[in-house]
Amino acid sequence: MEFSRRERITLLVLLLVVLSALLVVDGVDRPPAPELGVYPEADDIAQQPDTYQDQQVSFTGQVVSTDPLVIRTEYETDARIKSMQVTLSDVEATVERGDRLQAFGVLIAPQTVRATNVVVVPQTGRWYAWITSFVAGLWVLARLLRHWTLDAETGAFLPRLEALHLRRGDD
Amino acid sequence: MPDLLAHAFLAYAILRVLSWRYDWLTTPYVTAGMAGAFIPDIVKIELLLPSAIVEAALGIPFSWSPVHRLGGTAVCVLIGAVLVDEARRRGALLVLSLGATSHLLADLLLAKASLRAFPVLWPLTRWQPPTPGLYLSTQPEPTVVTGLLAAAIWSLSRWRDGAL
Repeated sequence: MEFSRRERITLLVLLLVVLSALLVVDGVDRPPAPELGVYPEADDIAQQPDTYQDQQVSFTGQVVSTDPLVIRTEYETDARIKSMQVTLSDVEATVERGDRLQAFGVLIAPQTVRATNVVVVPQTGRWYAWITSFVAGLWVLARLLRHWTLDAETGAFLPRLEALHLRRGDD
Repeated sequence: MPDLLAHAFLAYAILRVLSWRYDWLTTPYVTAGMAGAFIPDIVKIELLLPSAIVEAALGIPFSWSPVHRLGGTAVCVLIGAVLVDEARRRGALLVLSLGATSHLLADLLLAKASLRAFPVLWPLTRWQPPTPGLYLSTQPEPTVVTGLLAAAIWSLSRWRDGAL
């Protein structure tokens, strides 16, 4: 079905509305469901520590001190970002201040977790991820510009018959 | 996930190999598929615009997460398909879906302390599949492996073009 520009725009708006609906629906807080692998996280621990006492919890955060191991974790609640500190015990991995880590374990006190599993992400790793992702973005953008073009009349993208080149002239 | 570069390499590799089999899958479609591999990571907008900020501004519940799940990814793929002309629509739909799926599948293997990945099939279910935890998105190994794969396939592709 060939779309006119108007039809295309209408369809796009419709799809964006559907997408927005999904984003809103998922914004509604749902309780944890450990049987589905959805464990209580920082917001649950912060708001209802007694409910989750002695249960398995999962959260991520940044290391603020190493002895004792204390993590500062952020969570969203009431349209605000809050943070809390959680002490982790039984962690065998070597961590440094500033590392990010994921922790999984048992909540033994309102802000203390006995860790059963920890995944550490060193700071250099995050820089690496940013830089390579940026490079990837540029690469794909360049490819898109080279291989596709926009038909202003219909508002549709079409493949170029010949890839766009930077060089001009005979070569 | 592995970082975005690994995702792009992986998508390239898959689509370029498929292009040998299917004549309609020309280079623009390989590129579109690579763009599809970026779709789930649109969720990274949350680093600049956290869900809580959007909630506060709009006064309604809000979460970027669906973009990195089946529901949001599918809608974004449809948006991409609507953006191309009729003759390319089916092809675009196919390669965008392939690219996006390859991204989600690769992310399902990420290391998690909880040993559970993420609710990939949302909104169908909140279930988080278990993960074998093969790598972190901050590790270079997946990028090196997929990069070598992509380079090999690219070379093979050039050789085939020369030979055919």
